[in-house]
Amino acid sequence: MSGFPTIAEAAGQIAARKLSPVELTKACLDRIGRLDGTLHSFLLVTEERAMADARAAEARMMSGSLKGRLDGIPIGHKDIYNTAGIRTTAHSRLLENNVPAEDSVVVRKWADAGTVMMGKLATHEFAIGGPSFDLPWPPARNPWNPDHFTAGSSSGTGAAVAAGLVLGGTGSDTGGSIRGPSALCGLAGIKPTYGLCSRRGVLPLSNTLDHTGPMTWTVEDCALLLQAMAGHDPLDPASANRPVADFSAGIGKGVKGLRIGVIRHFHEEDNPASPATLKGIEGALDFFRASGAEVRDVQLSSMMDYNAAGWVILTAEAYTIHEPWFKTRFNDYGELLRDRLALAATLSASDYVQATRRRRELCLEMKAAMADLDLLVTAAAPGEAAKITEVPKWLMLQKPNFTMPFNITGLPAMSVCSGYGEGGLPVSIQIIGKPFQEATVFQAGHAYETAHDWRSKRPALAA
Amino acid sequence: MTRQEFDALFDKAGLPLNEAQKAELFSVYPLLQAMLAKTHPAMPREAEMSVTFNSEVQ
Repeated sequence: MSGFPTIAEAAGQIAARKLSPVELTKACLDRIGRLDGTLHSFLLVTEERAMADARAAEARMMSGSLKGRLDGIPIGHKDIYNTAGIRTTAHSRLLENNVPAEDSVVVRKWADAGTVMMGKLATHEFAIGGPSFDLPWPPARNPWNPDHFTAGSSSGTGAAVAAGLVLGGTGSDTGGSIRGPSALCGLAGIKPTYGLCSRRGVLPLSNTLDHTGPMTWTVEDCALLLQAMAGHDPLDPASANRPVADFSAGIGKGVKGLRIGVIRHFHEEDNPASPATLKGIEGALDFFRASGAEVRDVQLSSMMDYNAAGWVILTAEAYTIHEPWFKTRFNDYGELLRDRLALAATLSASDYVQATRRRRELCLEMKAAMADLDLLVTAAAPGEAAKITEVPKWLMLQKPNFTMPFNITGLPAMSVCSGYGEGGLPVSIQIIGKPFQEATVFQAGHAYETAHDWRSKRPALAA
Repeated sequence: MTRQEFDALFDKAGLPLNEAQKAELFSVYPLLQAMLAKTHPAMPREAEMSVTFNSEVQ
């Protein structure tokens, strides 16, 4: 096999018996062998498991009993997702030899759908400490330029999907950890509505902000993977007990009649985005208008207001989770996690409570702003990826990120590639929907993505 | 907050930070304070937390 099939393309070819899951898996393994010494996207390649999964999928293909469109598709899991019998480290010395007894719910769901598990993917330490050079494994590198950052924390998934080492993978998103690497690696990545996908069996960072979700090359693929991970989990107290929608229902329907709000002050004033990012946003808005959508500006509280409440809540909850180890194994953590979370020791109970009161206000503000809108649009990241050695340790305190507002409010939000900047690395827009309206997010994202040429180009390193 | 008061918080928390670590955290503490100030706008005494318990859905 040559080239880079999307999940939708590979599924079609497998269903028609024109593509062998075994050959597809071998091609991914070959690419991993050639490129991952540079990219460091995998912490563990599970070659035997992958080939066993692929052979099982191939047998189903030959017997006409495929499980669905994900049967035989090579994927990877961020290494905070528990995998039964397979090391799960959170990219941390503290869990260097941790082998869970059970799969996380999402890992089990994707396995039941017939996916081929290629291995465990790099992350920032416990989904917050990175890019770090003092951990047992190096940080993942951006395939568009390995001197540059992938963003995080789902760093390995971002690099592996962009380079075609897997066709999709899991991420988690507490303040932007799916959408950040999706933006900087040029992918489609969605943080679904809070409660849509189970978090059970995924190592927690911040209980009230953590989301699980997929990262893929295209919007259509993102909808396919989300379909196989969504659904009520009675043992996850945040899980929403409601029917799962058809997330591909809007694919191909265009955007005519959709009402789109632009949070212009986020990307023009609160954290001014790069010229290429702004050009991408304006280009997308022009496309939406020309395609029959209604576009207008909306005004919210400053992006830093959302980030302030989010960061206080995130670090307070994360500190609580890590506190026992902080007292006994403090210096086994990498510097970035250790210092970022240690600062939360200065927070008081009232600081946390007040941040949650502010969070409720901000949720109500966002709900009111979206009352007569279907979608919101802003940047997903301020610009292209920085050099990996030049990522500020305290950036999250210095500048608000574009993704935290939708962790705070729990709304579905997706990064979609919107072109390339001066350095040749991707830039991205962010499309946000109402609660549980992921299908509308995919509808608009797919319409925009397929009207542009961004998906025809892969990183030169991988070509 | 003075440096002495700041260090006392870590001592109370039982974190084994060395002098350099405490100094760095103290240098960025004003950024966290600025964030905390943003979570404290005027709001009604009755303002609810986002995690207020609802017995019907527990």
